[in-house]
Amino acid sequence: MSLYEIIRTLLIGYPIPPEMIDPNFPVFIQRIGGLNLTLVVTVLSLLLGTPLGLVLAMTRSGPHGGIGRLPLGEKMGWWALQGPATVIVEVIRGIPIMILVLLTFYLPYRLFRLRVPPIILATVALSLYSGVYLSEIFRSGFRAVDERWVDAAHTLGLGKWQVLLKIKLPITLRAMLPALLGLVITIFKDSSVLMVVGVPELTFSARQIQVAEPVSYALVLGLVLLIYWSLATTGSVLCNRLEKVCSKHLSE
Amino acid sequence: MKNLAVVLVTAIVFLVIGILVSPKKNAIRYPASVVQSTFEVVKKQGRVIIGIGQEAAPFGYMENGKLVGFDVDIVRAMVKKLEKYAAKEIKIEFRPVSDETRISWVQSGQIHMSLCHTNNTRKRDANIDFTVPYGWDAKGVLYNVSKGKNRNLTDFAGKVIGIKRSSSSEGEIQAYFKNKGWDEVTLKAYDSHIAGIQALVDDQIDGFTDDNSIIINTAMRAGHKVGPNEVLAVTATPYSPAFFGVGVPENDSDWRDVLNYSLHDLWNSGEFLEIYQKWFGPDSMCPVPLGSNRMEPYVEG
Repeated sequence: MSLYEIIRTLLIGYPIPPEMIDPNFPVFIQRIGGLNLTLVVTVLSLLLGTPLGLVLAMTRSGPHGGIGRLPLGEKMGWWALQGPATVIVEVIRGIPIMILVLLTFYLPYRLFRLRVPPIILATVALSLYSGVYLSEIFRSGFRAVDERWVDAAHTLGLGKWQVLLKIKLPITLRAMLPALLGLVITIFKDSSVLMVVGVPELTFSARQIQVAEPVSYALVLGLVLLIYWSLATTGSVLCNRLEKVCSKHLSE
Repeated sequence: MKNLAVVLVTAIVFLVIGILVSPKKNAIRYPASVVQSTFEVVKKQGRVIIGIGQEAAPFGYMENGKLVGFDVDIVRAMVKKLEKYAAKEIKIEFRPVSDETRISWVQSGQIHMSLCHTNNTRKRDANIDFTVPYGWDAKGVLYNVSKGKNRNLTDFAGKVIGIKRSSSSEGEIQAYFKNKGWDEVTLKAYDSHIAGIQALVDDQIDGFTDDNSIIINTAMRAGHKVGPNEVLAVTATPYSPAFFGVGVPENDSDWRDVLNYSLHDLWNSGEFLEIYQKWFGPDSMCPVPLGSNRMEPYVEG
């Protein structure tokens, strides 16, 4: 196997055997492999994790000004929401990602007799994982906005949307960005645990090459390392730029 | 108060999941007469969902972009015979399984059968059933020849031996050394055979063990020479035999029967030997002579 072929296999994976494709689900998505699969699963799970994280964060943050002064009925309503949200966050945060993946691949059929292609289950598992961590990042972002600044902006005559776009959003974003980037990179790298359930992502493709081809063990690992590292670092650099853009807007 | 409530609810969530998921002890889990047999389901749907391993040569691995291997060939031939009993065409649907999932997914029923070089052990038999063995192997210890030629199992007493995680070698090798009264071996688990063999080559461990055919094949495919006078070698005497069976759901007699018949038919028609010779014959990378091994006999009539 030439170096070109190794890299190519790492990037797009081995062709998925036709018998492994479930005809009841979109076919093209089941043909993805290698780095492509890692990226697709990472991006999808972050996208799907965002609404989940937002809902969890908003529930856990409570209303503007805190729960304390609300009438009893509303108070109990918030508690009824916050309880389950906290449980979801604490349960998923307390499970190692590999166990979460194994459970996601086991429970849907065991409980509901649902048979779903691996890539969808992989996305679900990582969405749950990223959603929970995103919710904590969002919460810290919400907290970064000092209510006095919002009041000041209102006094200066800024409208509701202007406050949101010019004050709240930049401050929140700037506060969240480093943690957010950390999470993106974590999800990108941790998606390698999908290997234990046979999802042909980058690390699994590397193992398949090592099993079948007379190539150097270190070479394949080195290439995998290079791919993970270069993409993570690129993301890091891009994010630093973004951070500067956000700050610039704020200091104007 | 609120924190306490969260802890309590979390505990309850886990408890409920645990109760829902836990298999009932001392009860028939899938009584074939009450619940539909897997065979009925397969017949009705016209498809069989097969868990297949993809990371152990020569059983299931990728070659030239295709999934190949002994397990793959056997199961394809088996399904051809199965079609005769089902009296209709049956489509194969593969699901990738790993050593971690090959038992539990049969247990949950999300795959109808699993072929992943699964050694039929009693511990596993408590959770799933196996067909008659369709493959035979032995388990020895792979070692570095430069550290000593022609080594026996005794030489590994008290040494560090690498194993593949979730393989049955762990219990077997420890039981063997204990029975012999030798010093216990220290086991070190690796996520893949290739990682363990690399650790052996790098002298991080004294030996690596699993089914002989897998360790020899994996080492040779990685470019290491294997033989008594080469770089790596396997102990001549094994510490345990290995019998590979097809994993099927527990207490589903109809399904297990029909798979056994398919295997018998393959043996009788000679197709089995053809496939066996292709992967374990004298021309293969790691010959495993059939010897006295036979498909479990049965009487027609």
